[in-house]
Amino acid sequence: MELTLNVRRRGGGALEPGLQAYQIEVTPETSVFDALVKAREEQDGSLAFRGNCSVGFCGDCTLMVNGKQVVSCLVTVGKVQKDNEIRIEPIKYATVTKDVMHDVNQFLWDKANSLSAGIVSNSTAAATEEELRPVRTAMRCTMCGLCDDGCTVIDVNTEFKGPAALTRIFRYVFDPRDTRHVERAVEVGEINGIWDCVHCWEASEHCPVGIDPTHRIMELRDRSVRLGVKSGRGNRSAARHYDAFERSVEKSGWLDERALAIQSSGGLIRGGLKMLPTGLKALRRGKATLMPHPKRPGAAQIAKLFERYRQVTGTRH
Amino acid sequence: MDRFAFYPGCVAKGSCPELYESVTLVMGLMGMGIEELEDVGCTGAGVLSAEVSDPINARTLAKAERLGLPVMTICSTCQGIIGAAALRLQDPEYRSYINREFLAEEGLEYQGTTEVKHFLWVLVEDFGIDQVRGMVQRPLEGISISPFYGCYLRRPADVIERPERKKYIETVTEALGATNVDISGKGKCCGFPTLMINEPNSLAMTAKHTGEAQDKGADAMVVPCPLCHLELDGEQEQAASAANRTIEMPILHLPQMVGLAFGVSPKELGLGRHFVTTSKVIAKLELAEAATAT
Amino acid sequence: MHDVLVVGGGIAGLRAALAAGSGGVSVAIASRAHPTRSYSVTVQDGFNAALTDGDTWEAHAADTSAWGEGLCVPEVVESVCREARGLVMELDGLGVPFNRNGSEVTGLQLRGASATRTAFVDDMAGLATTHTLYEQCLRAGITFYEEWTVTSLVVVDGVCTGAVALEQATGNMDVLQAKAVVLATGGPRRLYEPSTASLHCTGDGMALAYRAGAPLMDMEFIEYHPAVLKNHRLAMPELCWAYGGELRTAAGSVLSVADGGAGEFLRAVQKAANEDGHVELSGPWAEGGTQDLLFNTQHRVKQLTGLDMTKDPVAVRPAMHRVLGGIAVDPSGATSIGGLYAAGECAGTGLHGAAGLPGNFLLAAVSSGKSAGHAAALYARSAAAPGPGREALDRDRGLVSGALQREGAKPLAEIRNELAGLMHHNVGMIRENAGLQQTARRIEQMRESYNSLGAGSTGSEYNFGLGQYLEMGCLLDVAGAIVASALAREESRGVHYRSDYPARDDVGWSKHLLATAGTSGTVIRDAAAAPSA
Repeated sequence: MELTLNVRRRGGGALEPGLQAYQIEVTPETSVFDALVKAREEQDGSLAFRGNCSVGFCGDCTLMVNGKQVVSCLVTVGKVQKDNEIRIEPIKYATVTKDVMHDVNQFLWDKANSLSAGIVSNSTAAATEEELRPVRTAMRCTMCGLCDDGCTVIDVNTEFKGPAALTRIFRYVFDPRDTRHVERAVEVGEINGIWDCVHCWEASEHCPVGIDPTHRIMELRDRSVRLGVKSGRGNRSAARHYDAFERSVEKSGWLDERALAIQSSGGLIRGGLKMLPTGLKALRRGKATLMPHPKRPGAAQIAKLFERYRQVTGTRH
Repeated sequence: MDRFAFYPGCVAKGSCPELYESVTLVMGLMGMGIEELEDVGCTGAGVLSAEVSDPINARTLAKAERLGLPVMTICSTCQGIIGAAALRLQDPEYRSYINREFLAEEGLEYQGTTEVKHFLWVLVEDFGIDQVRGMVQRPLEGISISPFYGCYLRRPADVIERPERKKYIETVTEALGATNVDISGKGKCCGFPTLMINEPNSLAMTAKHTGEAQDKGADAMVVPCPLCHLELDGEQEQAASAANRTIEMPILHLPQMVGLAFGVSPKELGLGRHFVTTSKVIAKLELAEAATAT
Repeated sequence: MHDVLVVGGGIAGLRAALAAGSGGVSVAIASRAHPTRSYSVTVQDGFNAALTDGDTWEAHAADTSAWGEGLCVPEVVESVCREARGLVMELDGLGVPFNRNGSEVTGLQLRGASATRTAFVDDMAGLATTHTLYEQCLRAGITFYEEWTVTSLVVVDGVCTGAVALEQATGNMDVLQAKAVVLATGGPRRLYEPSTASLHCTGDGMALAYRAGAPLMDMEFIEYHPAVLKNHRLAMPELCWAYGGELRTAAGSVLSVADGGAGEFLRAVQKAANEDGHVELSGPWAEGGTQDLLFNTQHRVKQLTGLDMTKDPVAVRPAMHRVLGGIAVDPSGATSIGGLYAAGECAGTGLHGAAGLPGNFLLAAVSSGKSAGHAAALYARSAAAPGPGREALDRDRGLVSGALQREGAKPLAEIRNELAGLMHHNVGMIRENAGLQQTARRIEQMRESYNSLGAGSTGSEYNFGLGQYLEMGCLLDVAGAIVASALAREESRGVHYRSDYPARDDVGWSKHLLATAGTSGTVIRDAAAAPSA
């Protein structure tokens, strides 16, 4: 079948930004990536895009195909063509280098590699199949970047490390062979790390290989808490937030929003002053009260659950 | 089902009393029974470690199970967290561990049978959308509403269970006579979870979504989560300022929108409590109502 | 300037860099793509090693030699099989999460093995190992020159002192000076169609060494994979058979390796595939929890064909997979050129002989990578400082600037496509004199055409047309060596089958052939005789 690839071209020479059409002869089974390769090899060697393995293992060929970000070598032409046309564009949230090629260091590698990589193993530490199962599943990751594409935090702040980078650290912290769990929890707890995740579940919806990165980040946070780490050194507000939340639920069975707001913001004086305008507004509209925060019935039972949880998990308090 | 174990969460009983008031009112009008669970704990909201909130949520589920009632939530976050816990507790080994290590001491045992539904789902699935239509006294004609789901009523797929639930707000707003205004961010994060951790990120999200609704001409946004409300309403002014633009977008709680269409007065629905005034959209509605009356 | 420059960022290159770095020398890797984008990540099977008490390195060696049909170099086989378990445990310590039975790394039994000895990582050993080694290289502070294309080796007075390379992002060319160079550039799969090729499987390192005068060994042994997804390049891993899978003709008769060995089996599969268009792979994979164990295969088969392989048979056909030979090296990984080493698929160590035992390939990558890395570091410690390589740089700059002016694209693609088809038909599973001669002549003609072609595009930033042109040159060189070797070996053994010399001839042919660049084409000579296994 004859296919028209409409490729968004940009930069790298005299080309004006815009769509350039390439007509090529393919079959319905041809992958979108292979179609692009054909266009480049047979017609235009200046066409810039990445990709290598063509079997979905190298993660390099992620592109926006007809408005949807996909691993382009695992999508067949027959499946996505409309009137024998396919539109190819660069991925979101990344600076375009040339045509549909993006600055992959800025988008992915610099962020992933800014967190200490490679386990530091204790040669006597054994690991069981059960312990390594989740680590192994997380290693299905090809660094295709689709999870980062769905991320609602990257949507407003490209400095956020993103699920791909954070899932790599999950692998280390959950690997019993590694001896640096606490250090890694602190490192990944810094600003733009795990505590900046808003657990919106987009990453898990976007991962094509079932790694469920949102869950991995949540588990990494829970494990950090077990290790007594609730933030990095530079963003103590995250730890204050966690501690305030925990304190109020443990004491009263439910959330004391007033205390949470004040304590997260730095305590009675600093936090109180910061929250004063909002607090006053809330008071005026009946959204806040000056009354003490009441305990719920069942508070004592809930406090017991906290104690038990610390016993069972060995969580430091 | 027409009777539910009501789990109001923390914020509806704290800084969003208008949510509590409006939903209890509306459920009453619908003839749906709610028995409030009073001695249960906060879900943890995705902040607390699942290692402590799973036991707390299992306890809630066990108590509802004892009543033989499904749980109704009025907060997407509660729904998402308890829903996810309930899903994990379907695993017999895990459930047995939680029962043994945490619930047995109180004489509780969770069997894994409790259903957890958000008020939005109850409205469509248990009460019925035709019934909703039938109860409309004051159609929201000419009112443009931008649904904002946020995260937990759309993902993850296995907790949402039925993909059609991801369109229920539009179904309801249409049944009430309003026009839907679609925004690209309707399923994205409102910013609340990171408000006290990374405020610039939080405000940027708020400005994006409320700003888009405003640019697309919506009269109001409707949210099924009081945390989204605290953010999109409570932080709107700061968000607009940080984004260097004006935004004045009233944010309605879902039961307030339903209540308005059912003929309940704005005052009873607590529409005067919001940080961002709802007076314009109420005026528009009352004008439309007066026009139909004549 | 670095002490050791590794060219190639796949498993062999990464392992070599780590080994060299542990020797306290400065190491850099120059790779055409980011390391985790290398072909290595697609290799799924695992690493052979005597893992259990009931198994021994001797049994592993015996299986290797038997499968290799008398052409494996015994001292290499012994050395690799002896250290296999240690290499696997080392990888485990670096972070590869091998599947276990309890806490013990466990193995599967692949075809040709007399024991359950292939250590595996679900069905993604290559992916897991590449990422693990890359991350350890980051930790070790290895310097990376990513998206640099090496255009030639700097060889001065018979000693290699670095490489000329082109930075794809800018088009800038420079000499990467080093006291020792390790080539780990993989195999030339793009020479054949169909094959399991990644885009960058163009045999660059083999060509570079060959041009510099290093001989290539055992190049006539081209191994096809029996079961590559029809219309695609996904090779169904050997693990499928280990979990009870079977290959069948369209009519339903089972195809399996019998007494005739690997080569005969492959030819039988090819015959059936030629008759019916494909053969079928199926297995009892829905049972017994293979969901995780074959997840990566299932997922990709589903994406490419819509099929659930646990329920439906998968249409597959043979495709070219490996060159069993490569740059001739001694057991340490040293080539005939001082300061130049080779590891992985681009190296011809003599481990695989005439047919490669399943499960030995990833092992070969880490084994030869580690050896070459250590040897290169040792050499570098006492080597003289490298010169600037001005001559090589100027020469390559000239070649590139010439290429930039000339036409490319369609005519170049036509050469590549024709060559790939010719190699498959005439230098594939079944060869004979006339076809080989014709191919050799045609390759010479293609080289003439090639010399008048070029990049087809003039830009300096990410000029893929230039890359394609340079790669084509490498493919032509390697093709010449392969065809000449296949012509020379007048017998059949393992995966090399001559229909005009169908018998195995241990008397005349228990030896390895070396292909060297001569003034008018490839020169073939014998390597030292291989004692019969």
